[in-house]
Amino acid sequence: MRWRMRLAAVALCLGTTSGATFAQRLDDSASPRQTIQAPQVHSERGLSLADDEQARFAVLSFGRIEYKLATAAYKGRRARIDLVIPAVVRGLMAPDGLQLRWRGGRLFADGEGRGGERVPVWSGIVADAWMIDTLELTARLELRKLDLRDTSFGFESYFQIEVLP
Amino acid sequence: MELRRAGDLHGRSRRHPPAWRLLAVTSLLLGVSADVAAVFTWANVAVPRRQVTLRIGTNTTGVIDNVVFDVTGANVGSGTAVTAGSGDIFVQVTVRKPVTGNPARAQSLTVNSSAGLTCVGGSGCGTTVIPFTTISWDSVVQEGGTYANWDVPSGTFTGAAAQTLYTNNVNPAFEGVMDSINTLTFRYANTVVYPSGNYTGRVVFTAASL
Repeated sequence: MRWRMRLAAVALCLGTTSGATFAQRLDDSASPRQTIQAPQVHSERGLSLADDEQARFAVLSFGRIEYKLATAAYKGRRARIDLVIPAVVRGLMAPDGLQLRWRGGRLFADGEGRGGERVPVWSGIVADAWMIDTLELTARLELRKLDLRDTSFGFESYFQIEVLP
Repeated sequence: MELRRAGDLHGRSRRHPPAWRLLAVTSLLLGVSADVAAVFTWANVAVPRRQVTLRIGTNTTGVIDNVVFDVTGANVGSGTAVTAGSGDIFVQVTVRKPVTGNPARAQSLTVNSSAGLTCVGGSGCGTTVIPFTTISWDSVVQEGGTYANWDVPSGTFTGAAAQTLYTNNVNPAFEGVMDSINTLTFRYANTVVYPSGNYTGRVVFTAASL
């Protein structure tokens, strides 16, 4: 294919996507802590999970987690940021077996969602190159939707930004 | 450099943007971003462990119950079964489990009767061994309905190292305590004349919930 034809193909692609917006995953690798273990794991009755033989849910309390999002590329743009809860997690047999609840800090809104969902946490004009806030995060696992080969259960929820028109 | 040389080999002009560059531009415009790191959250989710408890006979740790058959005089080898004079044996298997999504796991009860009944030294029967296949039992308190087959059935020792008395899958959605309780009454077949003496042996029951 000659390069003019390739340019035409690119232009065609752009033409079909003009006006559309795309969510981009935000880099949060500058966050102070990259791996966070829940210090407390309880049953829904507030008992130690290992001791509660009637437990139906495991409640994982992560405490307040600080996120530092790289937003330089969107500075000055109007945008919405979502928290994305993964749908596929090792040991989780159904996405809705994982439910997250959080309380935001000074920027992010409180919210909750289940595996596979995107939940808005912020919208407005991106003012800075970095967006820093905290979430007090709790995960609730439905035990009958777990198939754990060992006792370790982990997941990676992340943020997506979508530039608004 | 290698990409450029490859382009040269295919006769492309250096003034023209190579295909990979166009693709990169296109990808950026279409919003395909490189993989980025995310905060990873995890926990040690130690669900309650499945527990299995087995009781054979007396409900006292360390006590091994005896089942005694007295076969005397003209009754020896008569073919008339001899019922144990020492009473019944209580068998209870209790499984305690949490609700989990794990697939159904088997709960089983097996018995090892391979050793046979050996002659007690000095009692006069030498090296004779009476196989446990000569001993049978009747089981009472058999469950019906939903819990049918969750029992030790009546039967005879096979002399095997792992004779299965029952195997059942525990529903993963079930949560709580599951009991299997039976009372076994043993009898000796008494169809063979063995040398007179005292014979003794032990059978070992094993409950598993994996």
